[in-house]
Amino acid sequence: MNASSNAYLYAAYIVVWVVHVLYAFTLLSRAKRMKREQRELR
Amino acid sequence: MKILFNVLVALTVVLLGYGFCQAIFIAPTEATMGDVQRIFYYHLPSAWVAFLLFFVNFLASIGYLVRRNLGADALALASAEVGVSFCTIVLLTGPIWARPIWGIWWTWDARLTSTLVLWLIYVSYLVLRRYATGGQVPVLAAALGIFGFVDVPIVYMAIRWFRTQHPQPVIGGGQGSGLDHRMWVAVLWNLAAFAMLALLFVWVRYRQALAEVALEEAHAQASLEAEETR
Amino acid sequence: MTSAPSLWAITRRSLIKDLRLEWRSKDAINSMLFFALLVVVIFSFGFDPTAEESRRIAGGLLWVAILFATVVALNQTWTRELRNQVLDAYRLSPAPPMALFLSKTVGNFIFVSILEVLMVPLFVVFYNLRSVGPLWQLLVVALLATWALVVNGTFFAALSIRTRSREIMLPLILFPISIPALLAMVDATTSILTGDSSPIFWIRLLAVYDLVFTTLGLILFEPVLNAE
Repeated sequence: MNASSNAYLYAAYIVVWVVHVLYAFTLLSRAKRMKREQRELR
Repeated sequence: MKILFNVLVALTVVLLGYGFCQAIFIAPTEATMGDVQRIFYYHLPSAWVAFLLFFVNFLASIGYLVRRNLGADALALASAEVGVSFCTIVLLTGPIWARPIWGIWWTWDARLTSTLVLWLIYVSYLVLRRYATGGQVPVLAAALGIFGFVDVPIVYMAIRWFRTQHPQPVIGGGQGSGLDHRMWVAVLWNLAAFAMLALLFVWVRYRQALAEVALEEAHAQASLEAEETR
Repeated sequence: MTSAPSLWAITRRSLIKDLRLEWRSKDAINSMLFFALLVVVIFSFGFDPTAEESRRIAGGLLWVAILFATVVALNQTWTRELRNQVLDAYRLSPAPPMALFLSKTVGNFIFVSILEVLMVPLFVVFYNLRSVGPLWQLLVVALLATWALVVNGTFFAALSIRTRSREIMLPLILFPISIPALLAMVDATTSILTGDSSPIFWIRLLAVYDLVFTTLGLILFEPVLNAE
């Protein structure tokens, strides 16, 4: 195959990592929010 | 616990790094498809991990209905969420792979279509969990989780037969396509890496789900006390 | 001292009560029938096929139309239950939840079948349909397909009554799970109409689907009913 189809290869790998990073980010922001709520409750 | 978690994080990072090397550098280039085929080393393990996670959701749902313990419900939620995340990856990488090979984004190929239906079922599960009100959401969700997973083999059979009737190009090689031994090695390393990543995500989400319940109770308690002191 | 009524007796009794209620509130039936008619007409405007084409697409159109009509009907039946607080009465009674589930499902089955009896002739007329395959096969498909939609629809209607945006929640949960059944009913109908292939696999798939989900529904209805 030619070089241009390698662009799809990069795109696919980037997509995979973007999704995982986004999910990790949702986990982090939920953790932050919950810490804040716990502090407020005290 | 925290030490174990950090060790696992380190291990996961190493595995992911090595898996990447396997996929991009070590595995041989595929004869007909070229380097684009390397998407396969991320596409297939993600599919297996997603499926495994949905199976965990199935078991946790049954566990919750039988024992009504919060841990089972938290595990069900966590595994469904991470499962949908991995399933999304399968659905995105599939078309990205198909496009340069066959010139089309989507082929209603049996496996990709089954994955789409799987994704729809578990997204509906997450929607139910988010929008249902009342203290018995876990029960309702557990029922849906069981229905959804039982549906999976039926979905697969239906779509496979449909595809036999209306053949189309197959993503990932047909039934008979063999894999070079070194390619299998790359698949397995990435499978280990993504399974570890999934484990970490589920662990964190599980803890957060339990903490959320505790937090809600604390809120309820606080407002109760505020009422009493009035 | 009379013996405790059997599951069948309870089911039959609540079914008859349901049907009587439906009959008295004829407005529900009438508006549903009109809705079904509208759906058929609108779909007909969307497509204007030749006789050959119509045989190939009518199956899909018909079952999608019936699916939408079913969802509207299902939302209605549970709304009425909620309004009349019938659910609470059932929870308090010693009657097994299975009986309630069965009677609801059969009631919905009858209701949707009435809609189909209206919609199918209309489809035949608007699309000038003539089936290549035997009609009795179409009837078998219709029975199995209707049960497939109704058994899960009844169960999930019970799930979704406790959600916000209830009306959209039912199709949202029901459709993904129903996809294999939908595929089967559409393809079976198409293969009978066109005579191009055998519907046997699809009919078997529908039968398996019906069996599996009726069983699951019967088993899981109790915990769902008892949820607040």
